[in-house]
Amino acid sequence: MHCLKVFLYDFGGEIKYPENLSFGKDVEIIRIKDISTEETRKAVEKALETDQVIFVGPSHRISERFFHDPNIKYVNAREQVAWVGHNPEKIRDLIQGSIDKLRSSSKIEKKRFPIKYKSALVIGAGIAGLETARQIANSGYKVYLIEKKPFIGGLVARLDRLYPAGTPNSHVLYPLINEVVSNPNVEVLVNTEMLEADGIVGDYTVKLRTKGNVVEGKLPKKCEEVCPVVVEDKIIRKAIYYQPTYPEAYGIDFDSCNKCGNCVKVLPELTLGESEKTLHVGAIVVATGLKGYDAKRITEYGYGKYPNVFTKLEFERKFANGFIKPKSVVIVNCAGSRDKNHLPYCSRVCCMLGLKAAKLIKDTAPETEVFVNYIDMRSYGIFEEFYNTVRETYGVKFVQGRPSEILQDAEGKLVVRCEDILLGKNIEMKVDCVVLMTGFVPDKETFEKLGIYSSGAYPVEYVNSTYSIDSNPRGIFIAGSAGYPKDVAEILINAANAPGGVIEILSKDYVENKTPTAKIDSKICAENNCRICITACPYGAVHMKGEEVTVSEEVCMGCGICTATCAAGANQLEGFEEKGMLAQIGGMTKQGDIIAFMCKWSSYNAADKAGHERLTYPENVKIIRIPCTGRVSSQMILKAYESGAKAVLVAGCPPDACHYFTGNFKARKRITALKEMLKQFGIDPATLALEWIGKDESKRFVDIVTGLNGKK
Amino acid sequence: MDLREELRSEIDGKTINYCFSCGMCTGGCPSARLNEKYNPRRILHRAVIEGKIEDDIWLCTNCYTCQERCPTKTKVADIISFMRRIYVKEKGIPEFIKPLVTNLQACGFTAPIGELENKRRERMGLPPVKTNDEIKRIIEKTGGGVK
Repeated sequence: MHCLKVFLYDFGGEIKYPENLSFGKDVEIIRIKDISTEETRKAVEKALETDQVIFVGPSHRISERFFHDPNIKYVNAREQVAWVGHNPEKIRDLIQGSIDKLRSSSKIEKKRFPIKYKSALVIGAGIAGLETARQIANSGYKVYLIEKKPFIGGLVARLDRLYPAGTPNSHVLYPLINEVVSNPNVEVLVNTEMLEADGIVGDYTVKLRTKGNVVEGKLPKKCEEVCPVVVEDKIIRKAIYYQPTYPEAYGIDFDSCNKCGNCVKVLPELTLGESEKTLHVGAIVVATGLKGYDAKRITEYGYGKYPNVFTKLEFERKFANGFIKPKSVVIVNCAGSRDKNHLPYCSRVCCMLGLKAAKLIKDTAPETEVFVNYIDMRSYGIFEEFYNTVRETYGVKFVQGRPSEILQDAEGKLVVRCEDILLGKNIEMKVDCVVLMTGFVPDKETFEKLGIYSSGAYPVEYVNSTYSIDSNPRGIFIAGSAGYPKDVAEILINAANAPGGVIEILSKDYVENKTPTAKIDSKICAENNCRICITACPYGAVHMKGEEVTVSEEVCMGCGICTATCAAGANQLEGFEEKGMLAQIGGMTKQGDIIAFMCKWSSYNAADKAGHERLTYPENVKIIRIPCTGRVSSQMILKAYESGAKAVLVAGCPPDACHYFTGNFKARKRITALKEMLKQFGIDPATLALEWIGKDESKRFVDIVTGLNGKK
Repeated sequence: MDLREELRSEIDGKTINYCFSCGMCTGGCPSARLNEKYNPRRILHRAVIEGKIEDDIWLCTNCYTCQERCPTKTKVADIISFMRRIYVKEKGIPEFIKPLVTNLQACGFTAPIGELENKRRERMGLPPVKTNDEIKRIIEKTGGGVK
């Protein structure tokens, strides 16, 4: 049997404890005077070495600031009893519940991940990859910067100018490239792809494949002249070509190269073969950026059918390089974006790219007539000024309405058919050239290789902004536009996030995990093998490893949604094991109680706020703090009824605002089904309530529990 | 009953809230190209904001171009058909539609098919259209027809 120590903190006399508090021989009760002293901290730490610890006092929000061990069980006697004017006897039940829970729970072991390799791999040498590599290398760590294309610089290197001011990209790119490639800590590998990666934070093994080689310092133009392969890459070039970024050499585009060997005859040092290489790194940064959406799929717009319909990048390259000189242009914003048939999301930067294209045309050929078709002009923040400039100074015409079709007439002019919403009628624009502002799609292949979970198109962590604080340390970061579309200025500002995380990890000898994770008993799991928990996890942390279902500790956020779905009891969230939860419910529930399962991110704080405001609610309401409403299994609710509860409340975050994305919706499904079942047990389904209570909605919480108390 | 509520009672009718008024439906609408009075985007927007049906809904040719292209997957053509049913339920068949029903009853088509049409069909290698009274019998037996 475990030995237990219960620390009672009376908060300067505000919390009254019941007299003759005793829970049996093996439970020692210690009264402390001040939570904040070194003495208290040491006493709690010492107790943790040998025994299990319960700390009775203020809310978790306060107590967790002083003690960091996940094994301590807190009992909130201040906000839930003293401040709401409840009888101190309630504390006895709350402590009893916690004791029962601890007795049925196993200890949460701290996990340490040693940082074996003090180096980082940056995938993608675009503007984000370069900035990330620069910062990590300048902090003194080795960086391997790999690029799939023969030249670094990414999308920005192929643009002419950057919005809003129309700055040529050379302002940003050239100094950045020079700083990165001259840093001895950086090793740049072009024409290189990552084949596979394995390992955990601090210790990744990465396999790379490099095609061809780099012969620096030799640029015989003849290489290009003898190449028979002509490539239409926005502008026309050969399969072997030169791009003024880095390396200072001829690069071969192996996707188009037919390996005729003509260039090797000119420059014998060149090779066309492949080589593989294995690297060991401590952290990985994904800076793979974006690709444009395939405009051919938007059949109404005739891209690929009519020669004068271009995509944004194509137009910019062709126009800036002087290949086309249109007299009139229609710029179509949201081509294939915000469209459920193509890309359902907004790519965020295209509106401004459209304005940039309009300004580029007007700057170089002011007599050109320019129309911009838009649904909504998303010129957020400082960009409204840019929008104004293009409209006021340059006289670009804006038409609200998404073109329905683009046709070509007998003279070869393009006819854009659309409704002008503000006129309320159909118009036709006859122009020389149409530019489609197609949306962006991320490089999903790399995400899959690294096990980065994406919901929809983009990685999930960028949907929930709390990622960095409450997740376990992980060694894979996302920089730049790979996360979601960003403009260059944003990338340079935000790119600090990834190197910051990498440097934080590499500067330590080991990292510890903060969040208890789910564990799977492979023996029990193998008997059932239902694999429901794999689909339940909002992060893709539960996955198959060979024949076994496992949880990757790096990715798990500790929500417990998977635990609640496991009918066999094989999947258990540390600290919230089913057995422990049932014991706690059984231990604290008395006849006629109302058991409230409250999500720690929102509703639990609303109940705390009721205490701060000295509101009062029925004394028989007993609150159990849970990580997410998704963790509340049907068994826990039934156990509450079985132990004598007359009503059960499950309260979580508002719809769509779940900290773990889908936990509250899973709870809603479960409770809807359970209500049907309750009828068969002779329990009134109206006594089971699921409510969304935000952190400030203390009065609503009071109303809800008072209402539940009114039911018989 | 309120139009909005009627629309909400239908699965396809509910999609009226998907519309963000981009105008792609009207831009490609063959009927709107010929007749400025007809504008499917306006019909949907009017239904959402004002809850009104007007006579212009009868100008839809049911070609479904709007529904095919709609980026929000609003069932534009289906909603307009549904509005027609509501219209008939409340106000009956409008006068200007009655000739179509008379034609349907008489020859089985909403527009009479003459020699011109059959010549065109011949050029395209299609058999000539025969009129028959089958539809007329169906209409009579089901108690339909213009009264």
